[in-house]
Amino acid sequence: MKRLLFMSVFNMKKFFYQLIIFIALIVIGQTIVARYITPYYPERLLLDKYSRDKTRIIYFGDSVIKYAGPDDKDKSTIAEMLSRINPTTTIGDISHGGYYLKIDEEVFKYILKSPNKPEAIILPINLHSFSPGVKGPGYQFEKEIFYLRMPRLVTYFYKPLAIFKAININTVKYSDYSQLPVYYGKEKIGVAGDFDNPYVYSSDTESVRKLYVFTFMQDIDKSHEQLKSLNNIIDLANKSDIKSYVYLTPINFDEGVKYVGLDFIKQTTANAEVVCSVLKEKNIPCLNLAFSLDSGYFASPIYPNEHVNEKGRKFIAEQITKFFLNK
Amino acid sequence: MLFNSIAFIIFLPIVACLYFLIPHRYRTLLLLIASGYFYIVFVPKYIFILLFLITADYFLAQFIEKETGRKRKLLLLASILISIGTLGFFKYFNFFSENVAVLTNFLNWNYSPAILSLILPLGLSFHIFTSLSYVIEVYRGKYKPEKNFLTYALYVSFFPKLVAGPIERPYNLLPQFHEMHDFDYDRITAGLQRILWGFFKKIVIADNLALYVNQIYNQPHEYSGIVLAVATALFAFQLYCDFSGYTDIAIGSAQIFGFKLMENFNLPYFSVSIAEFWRRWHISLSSWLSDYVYYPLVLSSKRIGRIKIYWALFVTFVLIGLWHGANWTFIAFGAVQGIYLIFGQITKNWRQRLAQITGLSQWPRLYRVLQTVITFSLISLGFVFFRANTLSDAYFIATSSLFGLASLIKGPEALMLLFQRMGVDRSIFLPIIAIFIIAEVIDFRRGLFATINSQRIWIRWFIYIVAVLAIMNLGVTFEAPFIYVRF
Repeated sequence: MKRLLFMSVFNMKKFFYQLIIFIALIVIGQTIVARYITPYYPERLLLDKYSRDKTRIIYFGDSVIKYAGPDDKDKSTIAEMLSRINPTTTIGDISHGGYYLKIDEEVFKYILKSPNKPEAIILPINLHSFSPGVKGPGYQFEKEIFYLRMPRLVTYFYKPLAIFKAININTVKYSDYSQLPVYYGKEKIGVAGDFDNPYVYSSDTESVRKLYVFTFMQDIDKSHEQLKSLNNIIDLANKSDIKSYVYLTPINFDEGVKYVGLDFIKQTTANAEVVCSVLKEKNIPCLNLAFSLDSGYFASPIYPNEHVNEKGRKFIAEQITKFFLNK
Repeated sequence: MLFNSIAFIIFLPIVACLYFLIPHRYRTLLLLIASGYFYIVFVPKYIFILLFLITADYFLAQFIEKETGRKRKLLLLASILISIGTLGFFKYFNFFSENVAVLTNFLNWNYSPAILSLILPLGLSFHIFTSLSYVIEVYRGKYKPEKNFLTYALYVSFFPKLVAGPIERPYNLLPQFHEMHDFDYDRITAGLQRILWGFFKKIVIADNLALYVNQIYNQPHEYSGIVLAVATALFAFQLYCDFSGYTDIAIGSAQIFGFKLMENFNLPYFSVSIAEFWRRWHISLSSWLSDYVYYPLVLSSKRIGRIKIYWALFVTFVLIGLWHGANWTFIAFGAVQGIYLIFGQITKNWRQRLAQITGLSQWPRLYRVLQTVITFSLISLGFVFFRANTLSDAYFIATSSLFGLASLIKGPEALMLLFQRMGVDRSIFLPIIAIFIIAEVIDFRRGLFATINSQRIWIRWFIYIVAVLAIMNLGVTFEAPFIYVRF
């Protein structure tokens, strides 16, 4: 009996020692995988690099600042074009999958924790981002926010934590989102599910019109959560003596008018004025490029997106230089 | 609590540590509390249904043992009525009501169906069948009723097998609760090996396959031919990895505590006939229905004719289908399997003669491979009814898949087109499938764990670490509950 008990305790010790070694090896292995083989959010590493390089300007944005059309000879991003025009300064861009100032706010908070802060930030505001669509499941950036908030070692375990549902990476369910009200101006015209269904996409005229309405035609006010994030970013920048260069990115108003009519101009102009009034209250100049480019500058005329071609990117880079950097 | 959740990853070692630290006499209570907690994490109020069924069957079995003759039969009938009545109410009431409405509409009668907003208690079909088998065995006099209520309650609600089986039999599991299980290094590492393999199958293989299968099966009319055929074959792998993965985790977890649950799978896709497949697939359910439905039907009269056997087979398999869910697709799935088996019985001699005439029987390996491929194809085709959302979808997929298989013969360009259309990331997808098939072949020939255990320690550890890292990095992040949990 005593021998059995001894064997059992001996086995238990052996097992736990082996388990500790095994867990340590898994932690090392996971660190290697997440750091070097498949980094899930390389943008954080990029931000660290900007800090190390003492990059002077950080340019926020989404795919628009990186997109290059198939016919573009010069595939440079807007930040690269800006760097060429302004060779004496260093500009680093950081983008995510959709204009959403909440994630920009998180990125900025992360930048502020770094040892070398930039002198200025460039913040594009897209009128597209006031659509109810940004409240949908695909635009909550749970992964990015997790990476920006957590210590580095914890971020290496993002994927397993997400697989085993230890972190909620689906904070918004489509079933809830689809019931959000959609407005045309101030008038309720339906719910998000009527306009934004991931299972049904059609390129007929009525479907595209509905998408333009859904994307741009909602009346906004200063309490909009995007504008709250904008306020927070500017306040944080002011506190840290970082300049904020804010501009309204071009939208394809030609197509908007084609599908929605002149109401499109009225509504987007009104929305742009609300954004600029928020900036004015903070003494930040508002560069409104929303209506600066006709559809010839856009890469995709059908679906409402703001991807500009080479000419469009060059135009934006020049305007930023003239309005902000050359002053 | 789902196995593939962080809650379970924390829960299992805590319960295991407590189990080995406390005296033997408290262990049943500990496991019972742990099982109750495991269950109430899903929907707390459903614990009362479980408790009611356990209490009813515990006392009914005690009474059955004491009674004889007609009263004994009535008590058995009461137990069956309570169990099947509960199952019928939660699982089949709305289905029955809807179909009565369809029938009355067809007959131009004015009837509006009563539809209840019911959520099926998780694992209801599993623990009802576990409980029923106990009462039936006591009635048959093959098993003495368990005196200790807590032990019986644990037999029904033991958490590793509570929500998706295996469907245990009293003579296998109940006596084990009276045995004392010490900490055994070899047993625990073997249990962990089994859990690891289960997680690999579920998270790395099944969940990734689900991405493609769901995309295609949710909009089958968007695809045709070969895409549907391959999605159908992939679903067969998905279902197997999902369910056998669950079973591996269940068996491995129970093994840590010293309990040996019955095996549910035995390399089913290596079967050379449909009959063999059903001896290797979801063994605990097919043997349950065989013992308590098929044989009683066949042996219900003195004369056992062919027609009676075929009829019993058909009824048993329709019930297997219906057990899976209240939907015509599941009934059709069961019926198709029944037809396969009957057809297999009828044509057995003809097929053997054909093999002799063609000379195939002289090439036993080739013959076996051919039989395996044909069996797998038929099973995959049958699973179309299991997975499809509606009967019309199932018909479309099944017929298109047959044409799809024909176009597969046309050449590799068809496969390339398939991958393009499915958007398959071949860099991850194909190696995963290849690793799984190699592992299954090793398991078939020499036993997977025996092969791993015969390697040097650094090779074994390398395999474990790679498997854990694969689970941690190659899984999907959307909600992916085990398929059989909803039954």
